Amino acid sequence: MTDATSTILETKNLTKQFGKLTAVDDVDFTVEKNETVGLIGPNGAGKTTFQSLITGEYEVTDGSIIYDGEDITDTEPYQRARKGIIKKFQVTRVYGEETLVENLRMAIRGRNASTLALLRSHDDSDIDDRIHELLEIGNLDHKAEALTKNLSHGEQQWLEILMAVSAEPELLLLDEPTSGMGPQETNETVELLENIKERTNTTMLVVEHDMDFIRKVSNKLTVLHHGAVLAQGTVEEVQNDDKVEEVYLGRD
Amino acid sequence: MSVAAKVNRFTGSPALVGKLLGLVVLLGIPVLFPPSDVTTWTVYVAFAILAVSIDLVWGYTGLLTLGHAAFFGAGAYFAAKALPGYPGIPDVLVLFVLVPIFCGLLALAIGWFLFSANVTGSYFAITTLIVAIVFEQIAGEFVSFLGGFNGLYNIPNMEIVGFELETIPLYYFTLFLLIGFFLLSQWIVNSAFGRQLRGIRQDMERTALFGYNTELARLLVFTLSGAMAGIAGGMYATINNFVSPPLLGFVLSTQVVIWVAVGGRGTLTGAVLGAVLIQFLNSTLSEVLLNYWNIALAIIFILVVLVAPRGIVGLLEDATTKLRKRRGSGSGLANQSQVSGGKQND
Repeated sequence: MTDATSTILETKNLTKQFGKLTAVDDVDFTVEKNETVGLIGPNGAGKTTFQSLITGEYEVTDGSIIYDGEDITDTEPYQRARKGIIKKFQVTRVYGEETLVENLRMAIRGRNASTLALLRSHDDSDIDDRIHELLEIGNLDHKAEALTKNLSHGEQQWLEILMAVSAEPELLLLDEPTSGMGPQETNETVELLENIKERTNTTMLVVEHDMDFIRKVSNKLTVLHHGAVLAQGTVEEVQNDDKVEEVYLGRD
Repeated sequence: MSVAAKVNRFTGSPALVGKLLGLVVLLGIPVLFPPSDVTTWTVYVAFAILAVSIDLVWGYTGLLTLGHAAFFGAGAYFAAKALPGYPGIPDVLVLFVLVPIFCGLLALAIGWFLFSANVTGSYFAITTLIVAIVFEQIAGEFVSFLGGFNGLYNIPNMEIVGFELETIPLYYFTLFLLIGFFLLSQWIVNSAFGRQLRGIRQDMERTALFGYNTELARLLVFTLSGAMAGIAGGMYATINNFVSPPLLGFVLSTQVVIWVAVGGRGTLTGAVLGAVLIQFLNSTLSEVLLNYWNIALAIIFILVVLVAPRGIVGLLEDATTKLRKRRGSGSGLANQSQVSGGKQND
């Protein structure tokens, strides 16, 4: 399924402490280009915190983050996004007071625009075709000019995935993309991600609780437990791991 | 395009019609009111510039500033000292170069401190409020240089190439400035940068994680807004010929925030409308209602917060939408409250 050629993300001894709580504990982790890695674990395992360290939302307590060969441990979040690390949040973070088209414009323009270029830019018609193509992928083209706050939960989730994809990420972080969805919407999300993968071959790091979903979209899994790596490998390897069975999959 | 189509297009844009009507009223003030009232209206217009500057920061970017009068007052005091003090320097240079540089640098310094320390939300509001209190105290304490609580008197009217601007020319000049700042602000909010500001208002972290330098954007708009407020203050000094510490204080700052809220936060028309309307009501109704006017103003503000959070402009937009629905004119426009054309035409 993947055509891994080189490492895009590597963490070395990555640690995050909140007071006395160690949310991420000495994690060594790699993601190869073009693969889709699932990050799983029980509630409170540190999955979302791990992703937030990658994006720069949280400062690292110890360890380092290497992205595409460059140490980005102390880099500002917006600079990481410009380098190609884009995140879709668990609880949707779309711009409710804007239309779907404006949301996508916001996402598309972010990575490549200096403040002065943004000030000078008064015409976005050059990206209209791309926006409508994206909306078609998500079956949202009929709501292009609706205010985002009026969309259903599932539609907002898809819009945010499309926004993240529209920014042309090199590394797409998806935090529970099926959160709050029913089986039908979850299946449609699998199709959407497969569609995106087929078109863009984007590297993805997916945090998810739904094991059926993660099996369908990932080809490699990492299991976190109490902030530390419990197991890593292919989906089959991780599924057959006794420790994983005991702390996580056994309860599924 | 036929004449009928042109008329249709014109009347199909209530916002544009409203703006033009407002402009016509403001242009007609010297005709509608006696000269003694025109100076008062000139002050209204100067404060409307301050309201626009606050709307950029609060309405569009979501940074509730409760101390913006500090920049307005700093501009007023700078002009009060520089206009009579350095006769060799043209007034235009003082008011439109030195004052905005001074106030812009003040805003830059305060903004840099606040944004680099990631002061947001209510902490931002409180800190800016404290800045205004400190500025007001400084003006009150420095009696020899800034006149203390008595302020500075006998500030001359501004001159342009040797011509002193008095009542009516000064009104039109100030109105010309307001129109200029309105158009500049409109140009900003309709740009991709304006979209970034709206993104910051709705979700700053999300916006940064798409690659936008939100700290630089906030600093830029705060600095620009401070410079704009400073120019408004400089104009106030030359209109009123007198400045005093309350011009820098939090009372004025919060008053203007209320004007913007009543007019319609996040719309430039709302900022101007709120500023002009409430000042006009203040001067007319306070004579009738005496001290009860402040209570009436408080009630108006509470009603706006509870009933019309988008202010008068929001109410007018909703009414227009309902009217169109009832008339059934243009199905695409019937859902105007549900959709947006993308650009913030205001």
